[in-house]
Amino acid sequence: MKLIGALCILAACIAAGRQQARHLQKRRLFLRGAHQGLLALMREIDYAATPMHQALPAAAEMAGPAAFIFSDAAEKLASGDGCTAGEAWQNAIMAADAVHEEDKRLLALAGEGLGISDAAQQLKTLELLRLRIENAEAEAAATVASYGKIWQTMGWSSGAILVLLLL
Amino acid sequence: MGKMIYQQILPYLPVEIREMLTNADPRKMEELEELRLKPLLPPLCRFAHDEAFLAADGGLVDDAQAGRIVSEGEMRKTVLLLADSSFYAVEEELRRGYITLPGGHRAGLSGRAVLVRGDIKTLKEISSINIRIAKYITGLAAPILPRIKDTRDRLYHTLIVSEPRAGKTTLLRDLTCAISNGQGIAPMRVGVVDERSELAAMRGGIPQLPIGIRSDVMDGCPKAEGIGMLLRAMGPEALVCDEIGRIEDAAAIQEAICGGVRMLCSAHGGSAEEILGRPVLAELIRQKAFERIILLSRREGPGTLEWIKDSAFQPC
Repeated sequence: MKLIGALCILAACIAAGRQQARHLQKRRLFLRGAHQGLLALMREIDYAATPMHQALPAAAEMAGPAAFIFSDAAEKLASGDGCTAGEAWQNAIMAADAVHEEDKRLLALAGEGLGISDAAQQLKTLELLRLRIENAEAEAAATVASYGKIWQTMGWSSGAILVLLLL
Repeated sequence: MGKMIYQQILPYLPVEIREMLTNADPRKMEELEELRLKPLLPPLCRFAHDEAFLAADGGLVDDAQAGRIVSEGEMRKTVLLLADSSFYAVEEELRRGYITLPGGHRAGLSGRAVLVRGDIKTLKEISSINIRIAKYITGLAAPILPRIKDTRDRLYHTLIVSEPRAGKTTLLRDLTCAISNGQGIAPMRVGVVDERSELAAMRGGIPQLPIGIRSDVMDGCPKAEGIGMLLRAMGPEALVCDEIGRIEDAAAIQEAICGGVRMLCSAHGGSAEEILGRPVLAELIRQKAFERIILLSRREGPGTLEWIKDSAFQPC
């Protein structure tokens, strides 16, 4: 009975450690997706001058885990309720509860100027944001590399210590 | 404003202005021809015979003081909504000063022109928006078509003349549709040079107004170049141009006529004297380029037919 209890405690601690590591990885993947989506949006504006209500769904297809931001904004824009692309983008970000607050603030920067200028100015603004997201992604990757393993190790080691103490 | 027009125009207006229009008297709004917006002034509705300002409750008032002021923010938002939140996608339209909306309605814009090497690059600080309601009226061509074709069912080279807002573009469009569809005349392949996007009101490659199944549209293209391109590429039997008047237009029209293509054009003018007072038109008429000239007026409402004459200005 004791053995089963000990195994349960150990498994729970390992799972908690892995969960924390996965959380870090998820953020990195979200930022990578947002980066890819932003690149796709820039391509749509640069090469085809695609209007926002078509460019956002096209960007969503490339945005992986961040696709919901682009598609939610596109949906809001297409609803015809007097919403501009900037407002639709901000709404989509505000509604994204699972997104890290820091990343929300970063992505919200795009909303301010979305669609309100000529192609050159749009590309300049989006490129600036893309670079910032790229930096955030690199930082997130470094965090995953250092803290990811720490969380995993802490998971099983704390489980083992707890089991030893209880036994 | 009909239900369809509401659906086509309201999405391009901020919610507050939509509500005013929705609350306005629907019977009066059926007559709406233009909706004019300016910052810090109330919306002005122009109807067929009069005009009025919109009040906050949707009422129509004559006194501008009683109207509901359009804020600068609402003005900016309207421009953004008209541009589908994508200014970069409507740079050409901004350069021309208007944006075509679904249904062929048109939002004219005026503001500060941004010049690059003397050419207008775009407009900024938009100070006026004029949404013109497109009203497609059918059946105008039916009584006129028999008078502009010969006994062999061949279309005469025809010039439609009127003052602004007297229906020449509407008649030109209806004639184009009838000729293209073969209604009242043998069907023809029609090339339409729609420099001002008023005839077909193209949006995303789709004509927003009916112009007939055999019509090929060269949209936003200068008339002289458009005529040449259509002649080379589409093999038209008839060519349609709106508001001719430049020297290069005349040369291209002569070229097309010599190539055996029937011409159907329109031009500004309120009388035979005014037509002959315009050098390019006078020269075309002197050369008998046009076999039929139609004059329209607003005497009994837009599209009133004043007369149809031949190139010697003799009734026919």
